[in-house]
Amino acid sequence: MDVTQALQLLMLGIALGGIYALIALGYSMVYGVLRLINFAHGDLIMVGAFLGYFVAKAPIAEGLPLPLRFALVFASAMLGCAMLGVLIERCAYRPIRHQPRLTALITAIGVSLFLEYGGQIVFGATPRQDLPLWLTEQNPLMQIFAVQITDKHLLVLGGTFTLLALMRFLVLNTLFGKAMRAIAQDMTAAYLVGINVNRVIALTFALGSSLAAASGVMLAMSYPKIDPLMGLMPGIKAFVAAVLGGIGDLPGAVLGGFVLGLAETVVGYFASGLRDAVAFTILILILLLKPTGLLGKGMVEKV
Amino acid sequence: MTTGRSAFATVLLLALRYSLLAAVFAFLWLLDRAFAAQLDPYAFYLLRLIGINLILAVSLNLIMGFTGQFSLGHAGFMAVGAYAAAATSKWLVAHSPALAHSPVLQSLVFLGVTVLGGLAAALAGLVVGLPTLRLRGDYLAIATLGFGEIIRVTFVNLEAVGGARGLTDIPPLGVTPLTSHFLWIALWAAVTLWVIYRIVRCTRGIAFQAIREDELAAGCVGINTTYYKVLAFVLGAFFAGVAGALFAHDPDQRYINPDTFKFMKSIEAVVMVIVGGMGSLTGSVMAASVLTVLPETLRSIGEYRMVLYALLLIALMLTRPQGLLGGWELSWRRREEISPDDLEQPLQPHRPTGEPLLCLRDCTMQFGGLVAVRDFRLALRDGELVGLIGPNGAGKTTVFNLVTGIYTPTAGEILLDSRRLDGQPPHLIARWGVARTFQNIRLFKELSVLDNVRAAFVHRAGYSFWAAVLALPHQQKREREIERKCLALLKLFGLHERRHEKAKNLPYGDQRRLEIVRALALAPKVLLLDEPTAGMNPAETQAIMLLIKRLNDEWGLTILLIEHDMRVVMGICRRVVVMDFGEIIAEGSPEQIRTDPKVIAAYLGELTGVETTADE
Amino acid sequence: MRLLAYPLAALLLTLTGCRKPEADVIKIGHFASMTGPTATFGQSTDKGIRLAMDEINRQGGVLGKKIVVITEDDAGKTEEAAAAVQKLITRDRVVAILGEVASSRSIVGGNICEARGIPMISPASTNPKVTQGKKWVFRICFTDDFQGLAMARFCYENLRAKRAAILKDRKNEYSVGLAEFFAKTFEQLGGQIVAHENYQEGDVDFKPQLAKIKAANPDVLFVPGYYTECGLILKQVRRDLGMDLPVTGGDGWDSASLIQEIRGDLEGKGVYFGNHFSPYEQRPEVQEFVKKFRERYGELPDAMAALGYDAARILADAIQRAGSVEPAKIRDAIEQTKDFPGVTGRITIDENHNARKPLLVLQIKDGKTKVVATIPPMETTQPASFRGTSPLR
Repeated sequence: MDVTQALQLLMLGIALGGIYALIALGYSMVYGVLRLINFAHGDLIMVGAFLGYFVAKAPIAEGLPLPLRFALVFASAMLGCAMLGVLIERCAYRPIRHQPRLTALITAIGVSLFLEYGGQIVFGATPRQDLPLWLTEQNPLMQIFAVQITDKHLLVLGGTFTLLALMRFLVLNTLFGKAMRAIAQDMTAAYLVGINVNRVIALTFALGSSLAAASGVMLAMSYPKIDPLMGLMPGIKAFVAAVLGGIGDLPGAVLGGFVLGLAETVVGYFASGLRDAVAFTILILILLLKPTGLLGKGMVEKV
Repeated sequence: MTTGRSAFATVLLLALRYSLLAAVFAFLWLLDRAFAAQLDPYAFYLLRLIGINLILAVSLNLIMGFTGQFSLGHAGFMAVGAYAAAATSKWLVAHSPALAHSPVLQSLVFLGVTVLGGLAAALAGLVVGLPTLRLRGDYLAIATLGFGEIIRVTFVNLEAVGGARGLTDIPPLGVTPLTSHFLWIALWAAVTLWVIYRIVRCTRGIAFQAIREDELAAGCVGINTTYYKVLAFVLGAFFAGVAGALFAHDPDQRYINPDTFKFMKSIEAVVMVIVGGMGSLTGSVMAASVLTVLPETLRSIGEYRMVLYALLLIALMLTRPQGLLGGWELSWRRREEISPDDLEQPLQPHRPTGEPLLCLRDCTMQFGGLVAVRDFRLALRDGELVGLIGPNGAGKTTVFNLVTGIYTPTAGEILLDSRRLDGQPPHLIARWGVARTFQNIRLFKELSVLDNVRAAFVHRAGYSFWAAVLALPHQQKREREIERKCLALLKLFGLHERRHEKAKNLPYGDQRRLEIVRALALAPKVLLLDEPTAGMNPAETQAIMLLIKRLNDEWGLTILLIEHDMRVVMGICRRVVVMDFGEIIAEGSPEQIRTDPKVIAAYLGELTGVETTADE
Repeated sequence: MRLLAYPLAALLLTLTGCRKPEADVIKIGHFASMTGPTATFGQSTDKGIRLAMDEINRQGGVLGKKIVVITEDDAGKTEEAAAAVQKLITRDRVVAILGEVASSRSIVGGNICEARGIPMISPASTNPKVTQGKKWVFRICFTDDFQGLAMARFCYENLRAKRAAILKDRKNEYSVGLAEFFAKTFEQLGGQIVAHENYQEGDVDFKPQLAKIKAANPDVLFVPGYYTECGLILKQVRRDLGMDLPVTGGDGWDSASLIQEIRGDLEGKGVYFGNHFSPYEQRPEVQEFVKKFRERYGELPDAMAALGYDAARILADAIQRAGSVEPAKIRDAIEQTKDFPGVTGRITIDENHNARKPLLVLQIKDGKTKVVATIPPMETTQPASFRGTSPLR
């Protein structure tokens, strides 16, 4: 393997990692606040991809100039998923918010199965492979040191880091973010100081779900295969990435996504048959060295 | 001691119990013959599937429900068991044609093969458990998920067992003229239930739930948490492996491929445990039955069945958030109650020698740049009652954490008699005679008052798990002894009436007292009390203080007492050590302390107005 | 032991299904993945089977009775496949079973049919193990052995390739089987396998493997996988890696959505796959089937639908010839099937219960398929064990 190949491989890993990072970012928003293993996050990705697909295929969208169409597709997918996310939270998670954490895991699995099997009925099981949405016709977009970079790579990476910055700003510098962090620390205390907990959590879900939708559309653009089960694996990978990065830590989730993507790509090159095994071995080793994730704060237990 | 039951009666009772067991199996066998004689192969198959899922759910419940370790890799253990057993039996059948002609031999071989599957999985459980169990919560979940996938990928790449194409033509060894496969599954399901039921119910098994409730506190009552966590993993994996072996040999299956043991299979097991109720074996049995049968009953609605299944799952959790049965357990034998009236004295009076018992020599504890404790020296003499006071953040609790092994001092040494404590794990220090309570109460909240105290006897149970599983006489006798001891202690503190209540339901003051009882149950040489009166009203405070004094006066127990409130300590301690900013600023009799200008300054805050939180 | 009462009680729930013997109909069972990861396969075969049976019923049924098809979903799991087959035999008392596409589920279902003495026809399971040593189990498609072998011959003889690269789904039994027979045959013919890479179901990024393949400079790429990944692979081959070599695959590629996608730059030096069926084949039986299928479902049939259609018609034909609904007689009649004019070719069931039929090689051009070669059945569709000697001598 020469240097170009190595660089190309690195680029591929980063591109795949970008997708994981983007998904993990949305995952981590909800996860950070409620410690909820939102099994349905992957399925929201799927719903987002389908929404984007249908909007992009709609006659109204087809007539629009590219930037407008692009914005319309993302906006409608994100809005639709945000509403769905709020609905799911209201029906399946809020009633059991004060129950053991794993109870919500089961309703999340229920929601996930519902969306998957419901999707197979509504959308059919056959994958759609023709998302009519692209940035440029030029392909690859550019070459740096013979490393090919496509528009989708840039879109995914740009999207990931923009959204990361946006979310970080939101969480760290706004009142809403402060309320989120307060709830994450102690929900009862948050109630007591007058935070409208229900609203903040609903908004958090809306945010997380719209991030899922955005990553769904980007996933479908990069890898056009839209089917009702498309979100299952990315959802699990996002969970892995979020935990690997450190629970509730947004930059950690993104970092975890990149580590996962790079590990899979590089291992996939050298031993494609053993890819998952080796990638998971690396993850476990990282966790053994850093038991609270890459960027997770060591939770010093109060004794 | 109280019963005059002769050895003969005991043997008779045991014989009766086992003959009952035999009768149950005879009934099962008849049932099996009835089915095999052919009623309904479909129902029969579902019944077997229920049995396999039951074993999976119950074994995972030991890991998740009882020990509180979130595992997402149970299907991996099942795969190991399935492959090990199936490959072995295929090889055996190919190499010894005689097998088919002898039902007895074949049954024995099948028993061996299932056990082998279980052992292989248990080995995998050990390999997975040892490194990963230092992880907690979701970090552990991810690691187990990873191991599950690693195991599966390994089988995909193992051409010797068919690789991705799977292992075909697995001989249905469980089916002989004498037995059907159902009998084997029923037998193993019964064994799984019995073993896990007996284990979690006996005193040694309290360890599992204690770890779930509070791992740190469990260590401080002498429980080797690592050992029990690994044990839970190994045992759970063993039975999951057995389930895998039974699945592979099912006459309607006889085929396995790595796909069967995907991540979703682990999720299915997790769903069964939680739907049934964490820590309820009865619940796991119910959930395994309901969740296996439900998709089948929904067949009539065709493609909508999984959608409805998903909705039912959500509805079920919304209406029964604790699972079908919560932590409730079906129990068919009432525990024989011990009357609290004829209990022996729980504590043996000890004549203090006055020799130095616990010594801290120049102990320093540094967290990053923060020095929580600096050059701490203290010699606690046998029979002493010493107060350790100081403002918030002075480093008092850190001293306790150093002594009990929660922290290892950055410098200095700690000795009990002449034994070094520093660097030793909490459970050993607790066993050697240092017991403690916690500033913010750390009881095993979901356990009964009695079980909280029994937890201190885990390491002195004096019998093996085998004895507990077989309910051998010496184990039963020992259980009664332990219970009597616990009750006597509880009675001393007036808690025996509430022994069956959950610890979390006790009033605050009783919770504090229970924590002291739990510490005393270790029969410690030194008792460390961390603000035992915090949050109590003056009357309660008074009562506790009198009791502490009694422990010291009447039974000669050596006590180191942290108090925030100076007045309390002054009343009962003959010697007081004052800390501020991690250092000892004064030491002496209450009178000396009271007038010491440095102490006054520390308390009135003349030296500093800022409180640090070094002891947290 | 009271604990045992719970599963028993729960089981009573399922025992409520009633059993009415209906003398005026013939019940056929179909077990398929109507939901789950491979739902497209199950749904397609079911469409084909229902079309065939409705057609037969309109023409008066078989032996003067109507045929009723009962479809049971197995959600793509072997344990549910077993439950579905047991239910069909026990509760519905079907006289014969159709299914499955995935070989793993056909193996499990076949074991049960074997034990219960019910004939079973798999429309599309290509793993040799499905019928190997089975008395009651048949298939009407060719096996992985034959398909791998035929595609190797096509690549070597028709495409004149000397250096082949393989990219297979490591975890998919079907893909692994095809790759193995392709490699073996291609090398025996005198070619060379220059790269052998793997991916896994659900993957979306294949560029690392493709980069390695590109470096090996092959004449042809063989991708025996399912269409879901193959579509992505083809796009990455052409667009991301810029390789224009011929890309070939097996019947797993058959999907209307994939085929429609492939046009323009994706075609490169050709995209070919081996298949049971092409809706563009000009044989009259094919065109009539396509027309009827379109009328009823409004879409083009894929190979799974065609195989389901043929399986159902072969079964109906066998029942007619047997003159009885007794499973044993049906079984004997299926065994006698000879030169049945199916839409997937002329089908003869050989002594090993496999179908002897040709393989079509289709080229995808402008979103449509065109038959470019027909590889005839070979003497050697015996159930070669995987480690066995090569069928080619």
